Amino acid sequence: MTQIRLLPAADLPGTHVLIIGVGYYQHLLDGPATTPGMHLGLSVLASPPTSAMRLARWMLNGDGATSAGLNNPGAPLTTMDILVSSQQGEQLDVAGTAHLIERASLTLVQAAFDRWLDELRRHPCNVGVLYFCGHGVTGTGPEHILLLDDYGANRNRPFQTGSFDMSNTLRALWRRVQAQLYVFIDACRTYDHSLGETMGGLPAPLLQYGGSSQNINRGTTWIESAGEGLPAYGDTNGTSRFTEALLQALTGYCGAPQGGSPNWLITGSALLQAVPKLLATVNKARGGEPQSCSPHTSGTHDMPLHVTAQIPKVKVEIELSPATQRIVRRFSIHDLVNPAAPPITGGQVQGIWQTEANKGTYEVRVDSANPYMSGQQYFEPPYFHLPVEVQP
Amino acid sequence: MSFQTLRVDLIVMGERYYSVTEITLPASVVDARGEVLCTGAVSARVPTELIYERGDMPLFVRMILPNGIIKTQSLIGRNQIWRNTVTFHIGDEEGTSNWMAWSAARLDLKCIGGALRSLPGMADAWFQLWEQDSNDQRWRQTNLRHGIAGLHSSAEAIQMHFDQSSSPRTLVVRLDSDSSQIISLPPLPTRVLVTTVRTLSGAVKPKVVIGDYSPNAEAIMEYLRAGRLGAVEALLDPGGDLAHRLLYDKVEDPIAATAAAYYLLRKRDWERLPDQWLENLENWFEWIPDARLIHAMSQIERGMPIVEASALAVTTLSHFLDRGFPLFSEATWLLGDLLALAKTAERPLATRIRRTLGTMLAASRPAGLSFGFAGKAPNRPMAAKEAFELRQKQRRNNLLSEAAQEVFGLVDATVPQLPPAVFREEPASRQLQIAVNRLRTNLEVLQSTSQQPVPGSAAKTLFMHEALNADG
Repeated sequence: MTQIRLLPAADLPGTHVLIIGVGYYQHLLDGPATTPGMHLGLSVLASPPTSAMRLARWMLNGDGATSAGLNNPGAPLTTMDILVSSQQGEQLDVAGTAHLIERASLTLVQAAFDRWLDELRRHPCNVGVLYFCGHGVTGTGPEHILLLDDYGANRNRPFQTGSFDMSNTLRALWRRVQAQLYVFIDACRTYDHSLGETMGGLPAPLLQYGGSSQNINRGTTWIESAGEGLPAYGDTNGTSRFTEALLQALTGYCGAPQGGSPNWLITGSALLQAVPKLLATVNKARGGEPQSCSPHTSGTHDMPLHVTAQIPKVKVEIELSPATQRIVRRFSIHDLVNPAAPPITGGQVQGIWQTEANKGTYEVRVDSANPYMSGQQYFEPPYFHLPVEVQP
Repeated sequence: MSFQTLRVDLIVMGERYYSVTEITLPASVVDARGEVLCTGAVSARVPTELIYERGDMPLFVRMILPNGIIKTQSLIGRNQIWRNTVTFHIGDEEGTSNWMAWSAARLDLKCIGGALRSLPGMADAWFQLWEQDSNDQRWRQTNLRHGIAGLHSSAEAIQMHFDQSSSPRTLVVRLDSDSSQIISLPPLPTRVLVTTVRTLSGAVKPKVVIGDYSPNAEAIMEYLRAGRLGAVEALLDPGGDLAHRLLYDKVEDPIAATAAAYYLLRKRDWERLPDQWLENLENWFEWIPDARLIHAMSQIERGMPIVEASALAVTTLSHFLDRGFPLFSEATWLLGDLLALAKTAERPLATRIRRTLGTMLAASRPAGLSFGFAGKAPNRPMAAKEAFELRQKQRRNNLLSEAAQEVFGLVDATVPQLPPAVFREEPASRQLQIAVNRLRTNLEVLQSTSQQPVPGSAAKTLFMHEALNADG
């Protein structure tokens, strides 16, 4: 079992994380035991293990970033269950202990999910994080089916192992878990005819429910990395687009001020604002077909996932027209709250001018025959775009 | 520190802006970090007073528009004196046409992506109007040209006006993809704007904006869609005028009341969402199918034995499609939950309805805040398999097209540079040029034949080129 326990079990609020990254699918194309006719046209992936491990490392120790990982004073990181299927196998070093990461087969994922659920249900003010990166498919209906590394082990019942129904797992969680949930699903939602044309035996959720239909969950932020019927991309075999956007949000491009403190809260609402825009900037940087995510939030509470002292950053784009002026004009960005702060300057380059600033209120100026002054502009993380027209 | 009163005026600009006095938007007094000190709902009808506490630190008043634009003003004037009044103007963005001004609150007009006609595939774009017969619940295509009360067009946009309707209706549109999209239209007098927007990814895409639900409904649903729950909360502040008007006076603006109910359901704020209120909303306004879903889901989420919940889901969905489609895309979440519950019922949902709803949800393709799905007609949502195959085909065509364009670029950059005499003496180059020309022709044929024929009656269909050439 790969449960990394960071704090002893106690009846205090904590954050409990379940990370699943599936790349080395045993029975898909290029896998070690490809099952003819069962591979759905899908192959092993390099990006999910990389993405899952990067998120886990960041949560545990900051993964080289300036911050020291997931920080939630109200619900400190208490357990992390992690399952990753990669060709080479993975391990995590935490406080001098090396943890071998187990692979993400259905049996192991079910066991990890049950452990995670037990932890979550200890306290109503817990925070639960469920992250999945790997293949996802849909059938004729809206249910999102996620594939684990032993999918297709049985030729006669391909969905008997290695798959589960994420949509109904979440519906069950809402009826069984009070804790604040953050659910990040980085997987395609494209149709698969094997699933669509399967009679009976469709994948089951990881959790079933009965009794009352009452939704007892305090709050959920649920972001799927793709819209209905659409793909998600890993691109370069590095971190997937969506996870890259999520990590950017967690590491500096997202946050709401915490009252009475210098800190910033990465809440569900803040993530909902940031992740779709950051995904768009990742799309732009990587090219190809754009991917757009599907965020949703519900519930009475929005307990933070992460708390940071770092002022959220904003990616600033100034689009000057006519374009011919970009090579000759310069811009300056003036902090209106702290006029003594040196302005951010740039320009005299082709393309849309890009820079970064801390969240705040600024004035953008562009030199020209009639200098342009934007007036007060609020730079909200993660992205601010200002079209500017100047006289040539 | 002392308490101060700030008067906030909201002026909605734009010729022909509809119901300007009805619009209400959230405003906040914030400090330099963006911490909210107070919020309120600012109405265009009368000035609003916000009471806030201030010390020496600079403060700002901020308004977030439904289109995502944030307007900020310092509470300290240029003369370093604290301001007691601020005025926000909205709808004054640089629209290219006055008649687009109504959409300014929901559409960032600075992001208009250019000429409609220049988008790939738009030359063959078309629009259809379908109505549901209240007697047999069948959907029938009506002649769109007769259904339109007005039509404006410019290079960047077209706008269609529809009169009130006594029947549920939908717009079926085919824009830049091979598949058409069904978009729910409210039965009220409605404007439909079709334009282009440039997304943050840099792609230029067509966009359909359905208007005239009611300004407050549109604001609430746009905030909800964008995850700006704080903005909705500010609008529905329990002490506020708007909350009172929407939650207790729903006859005046039932669609905005429905939007508010969607938000309160998401927040599971049962105190402000009493069952009796929802029952009235459902029974009094049958033409808002969303109300039925909200009522059922609120009963289920409040809690009942799961067997009863499943039965209620079946009852709710059994005749749900008889009253047209929900107005708002938020309904997709509720339909998904109800369908999942209905599958576990002792007396299951009729197979035909279950399949239709499942297919519709899998083909979900909202138009902004409006409910929509891919399909050929309102009763023919696109099967997931068909959507997948179509997408694969488009992808192959795009890849082929991109590869061919690269070849054209290489050849155009090299071959024409050869002097004519040399070119004639270069058989390999000549053969390459011939091959490229053949590839170019084949690609044009592939692109021209990739589009699906118009389903339904072409005679009752309005084509984009007709709309762009017409102006009413």
